[in-house]
Amino acid sequence: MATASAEQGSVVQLNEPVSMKAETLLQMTLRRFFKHRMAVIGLIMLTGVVLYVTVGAAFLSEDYANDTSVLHRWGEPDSERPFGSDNVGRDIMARTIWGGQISLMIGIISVTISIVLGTLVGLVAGYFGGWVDSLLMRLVEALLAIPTLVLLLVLSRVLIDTAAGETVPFLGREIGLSIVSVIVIIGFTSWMGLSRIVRSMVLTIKEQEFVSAARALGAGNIRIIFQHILPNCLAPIIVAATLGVGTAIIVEAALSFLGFGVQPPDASWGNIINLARNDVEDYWWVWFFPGAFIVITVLSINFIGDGLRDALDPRSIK
Amino acid sequence: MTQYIIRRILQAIPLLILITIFVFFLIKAAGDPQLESTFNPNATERDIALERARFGLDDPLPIQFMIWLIGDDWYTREINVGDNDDDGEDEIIERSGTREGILRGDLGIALSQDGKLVSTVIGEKLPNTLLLGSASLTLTIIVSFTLGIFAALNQYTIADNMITGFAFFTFSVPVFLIALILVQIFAVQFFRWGLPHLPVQGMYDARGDGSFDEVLRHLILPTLSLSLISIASYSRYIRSTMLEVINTDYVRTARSKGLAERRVLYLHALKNASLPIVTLIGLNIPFILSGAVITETVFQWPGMGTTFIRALNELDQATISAIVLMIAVAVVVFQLLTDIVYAMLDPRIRYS
Repeated sequence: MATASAEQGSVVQLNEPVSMKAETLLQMTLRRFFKHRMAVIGLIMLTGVVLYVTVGAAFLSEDYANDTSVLHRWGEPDSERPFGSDNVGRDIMARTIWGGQISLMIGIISVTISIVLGTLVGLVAGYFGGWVDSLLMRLVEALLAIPTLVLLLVLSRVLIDTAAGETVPFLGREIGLSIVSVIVIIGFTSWMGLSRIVRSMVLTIKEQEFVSAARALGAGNIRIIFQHILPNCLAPIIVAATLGVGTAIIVEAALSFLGFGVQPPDASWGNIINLARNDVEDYWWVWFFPGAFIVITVLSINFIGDGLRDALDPRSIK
Repeated sequence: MTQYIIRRILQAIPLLILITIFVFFLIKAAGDPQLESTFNPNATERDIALERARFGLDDPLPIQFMIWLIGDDWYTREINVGDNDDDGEDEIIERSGTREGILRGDLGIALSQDGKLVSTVIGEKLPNTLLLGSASLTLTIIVSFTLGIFAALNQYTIADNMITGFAFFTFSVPVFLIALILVQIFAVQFFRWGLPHLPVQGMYDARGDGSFDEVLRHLILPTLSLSLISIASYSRYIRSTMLEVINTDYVRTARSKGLAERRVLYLHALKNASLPIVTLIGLNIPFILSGAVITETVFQWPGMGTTFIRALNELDQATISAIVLMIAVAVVVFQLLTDIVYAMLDPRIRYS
């Protein structure tokens, strides 16, 4: 496991007698991942979406995406604006580009928070056991008893007023503080499932002989946890991280759709759709295009996650 | 068995306490909206002090938490309302508390519902959500069992792959988008094509008579949009449990002793496959309440979901906390029930 990244890139020569030890875990995973047809299709689709929100931003500026125009109010799709315009005449194509950056960013950063939290809690609870474990797991149970969406809505409502109108610089653009609060609350409300998975893995791993060996050699708790136990939990963590991005994008979209997520003028795929909430019947293009981006993105992430799960599963080694 | 049940109930109590503490501080973090929203600009310092005391807002947080739980009608406060007659001494008023606390069923006043009691509001809205929820649950169970069993019996055929594809696609679509697509097809397009179209707003027609028929038509689209995602996940789950069971020894034995295939499948296989599925459904029932938030909002269904969103918009703490708490308690209770029912149904499981 520890050498997984060290030999990255070296080619396996099948006719060499030493090929027994040649393929690292990373290489094996990649080889099996790229054999998974749907996973590759997912990767291509996701690359397409990422290119759209980055390269597209070079053609349509953020000022243009936020630019309102009475002339285009509820404008239908035409050659000038292929995705039409919203209730205040903003170009929906430009908003799906700039909002797409926000949606993807929320997905990735909030999952990073939730993975770090979930892994740490799982490792600590599983490794130390006893009252630490009981306390953490009761906390997890209490949090799981409140449905995520309800928890998110309440937290979001609490933060909305504080965040209103403030902006912070991020990756070369000014983003609203509401985006930061959405990232933080999604991150802090989605780690519980993973922490349970990691905990249950730690419970079996810590009884194994290599852990006893490490302890006999004088390794401390921190070293055992991060050097010996964590690498063996990586497979489900990687899969959870991948699928988590898709879930986070859907959750963000739902929050913003209800008006409790990303606040205008910032766009996100969800809050563009929010504008169509009361006029579903008349303005299909307002929800159709951002909706299509959500579905394409989440679908491709799910394909990739599925491919990774199969590729990382030791039981399906071919 | 009785011992097991008692132990499980005892285990649930600290969990419930933890949840109430959590919900309370969550709501407190939202600030003092009661004061901002209910006070008129002419309110005097005296009015404000009295009103703050009525809601116990000046008490320390742990005391506020206890009062929220058990009420304050046994407790008389001395309220300092300031020096109003300019005699150099602060005026002190004695007031006894009026609240009974959530443990005695006093959920407070719903500011977002014209000051009705929260319990009254829940009494009005909960049946509507339960109607939507049970319609959706029934549809989900019927369709997902059919699809799941069918897919398991026809593993890797085109039909099975199509069901898998449908499930995979549905997982990737947010609920509100499913709702919007259904509205576009069955309301907007059907109307344009001159076909019988379905209503998309509320429970009744604008000038309707409130008949069963009318409610049923209004129920179709919200039920469909609430069910599709659960149908996708349940049918996947049923497919895999069914496949597992079909390949066990006792099913092979049943076949080899010459039982009719139908009997093998529906009596021997399905009965055993149902057990984990019943657990899954039991654990998911309370989440229907939260799942309905989005669907109810899209279709303006007058249930708990729309009430919750409205309470959030107007920062109506009493209603928000009551609904969050209700769902959390339902989750814990259903976990308990599911565990007990599971232990009773499955003779292999014995907790001593």
